[in-house]
Amino acid sequence: MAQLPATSTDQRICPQCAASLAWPDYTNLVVCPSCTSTLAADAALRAVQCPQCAGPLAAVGGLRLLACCHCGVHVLVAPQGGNDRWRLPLRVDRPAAERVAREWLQSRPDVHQPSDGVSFEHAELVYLPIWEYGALVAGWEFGYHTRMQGEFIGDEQNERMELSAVREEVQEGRLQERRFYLAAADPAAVGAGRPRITGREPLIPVLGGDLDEARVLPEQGTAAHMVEQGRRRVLEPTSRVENPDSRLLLVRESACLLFYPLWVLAGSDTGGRYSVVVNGFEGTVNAAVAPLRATARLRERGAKAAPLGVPVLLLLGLALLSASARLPAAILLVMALVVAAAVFWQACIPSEVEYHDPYSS
Amino acid sequence: MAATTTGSVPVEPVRYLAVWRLPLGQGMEAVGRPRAPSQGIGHGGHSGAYVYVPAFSLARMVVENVGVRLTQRQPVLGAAAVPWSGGRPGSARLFSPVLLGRREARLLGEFVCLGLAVREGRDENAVARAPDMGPEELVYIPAVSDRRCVHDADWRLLLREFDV
Repeated sequence: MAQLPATSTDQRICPQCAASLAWPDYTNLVVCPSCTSTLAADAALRAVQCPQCAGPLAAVGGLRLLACCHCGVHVLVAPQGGNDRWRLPLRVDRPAAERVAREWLQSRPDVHQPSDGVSFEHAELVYLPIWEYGALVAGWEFGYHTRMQGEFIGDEQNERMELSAVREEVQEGRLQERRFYLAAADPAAVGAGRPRITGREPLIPVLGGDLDEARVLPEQGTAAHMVEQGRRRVLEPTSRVENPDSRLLLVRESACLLFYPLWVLAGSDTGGRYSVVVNGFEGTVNAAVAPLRATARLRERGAKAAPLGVPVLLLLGLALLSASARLPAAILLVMALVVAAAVFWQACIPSEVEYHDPYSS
Repeated sequence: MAATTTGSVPVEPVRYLAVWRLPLGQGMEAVGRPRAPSQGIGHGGHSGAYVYVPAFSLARMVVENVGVRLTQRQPVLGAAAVPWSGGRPGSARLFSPVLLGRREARLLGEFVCLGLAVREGRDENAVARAPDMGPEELVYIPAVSDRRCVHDADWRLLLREFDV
């Protein structure tokens, strides 16, 4: 498994109270431990403070109307900027993740099972960044689709159904929210697949310190590139009609980074090495590599070697039936048996089981 | 008998639905309709026709049904449809929230224009892309909830043009 780079932390000064604070690179928002001001890093480090009394504002993700803790005035936050980093809640801790992994391994009949159970010596919480682009799309899609229509013709004695293609016009209005997801880092770096996201998961804003106990994969690409790709995808017509002519408009759009928790577990025993990635939000196995059971291995090898039995039998029959072809047939038979033995014992036989969640990509 | 049944009908409170109103510079030609003889270009290039974009809901059927019907009928909005500046305490709950901004209303104006063309069976290509529309105005239209008004998303608009 590749070594993951450590989360880097910047040291900055709070503009409110001049206290020194650590700023991890995975977030845009930090709460100062000294004066509890919420600090945002846009072009310059600034405090989210009350315009009336400069007191701290308790910024809550998604809320635009905030109340000042000192003077009580309500402040409306501007729609631009704000938090664009969110994380899915971690619902599975390390013991639960190990239990899920063990149960999954025990349920697989083709996996080698140690006598005293699988022990995971290494367990690490990793956050996978995923870009999310969301847009409210409005407009109309026009086009045609063809359907088959059956019609009974003929008289009672000679009735038959005649099928004909009927072209129908399609006019579909759209006013819906569309989302597009793109992995911001390669999940294969931890042996995982990109987990499925439906857009209905609860999200928590990422503040400084939230992810310090885990490894955060560094994101690749930029938000601008992601927005450009997202716009192209969400403005594609979805009605699957012929000659599509759509007039779709982007009413609202947003782009943010989601951090998905994954538990990476590794262990080994005499049978081989085990590596299981457990989804920290859903509590299911995302990917796994485990040694193949001995009986399953023998069965696999036999299955690989069995097709070579056909030429072996043919050569044997030839040697028995034809006296003149006995010597060449015997030589070829010996060669075929050697190849079959090599295939049976070593070549091209998988020694591990590899699994990927079918809903991941 | 009629008095008994009328008396038993639950009386719904009158609510005020937020709607953006955008004046059309080219009149109903911008929505693919031929200009009526009475329609002319008024003061400031405004033809007297408006596009209505409901701002109280983001459901497609509501925006399409209510927006298209209002644009189709071009109601004359009297004093009852304009929000008053003062208000009785507790009257705020009768006003719908405003879910769309000005820029979004302008974009959805094109959506309503296309919906009008589709509903009237006209060629959608006759509807101008980004129709010429004037500055947005937020108005509140009085309405009561009535499940019989399926064409207006269960709202009975208290406007003369909607009295059947």
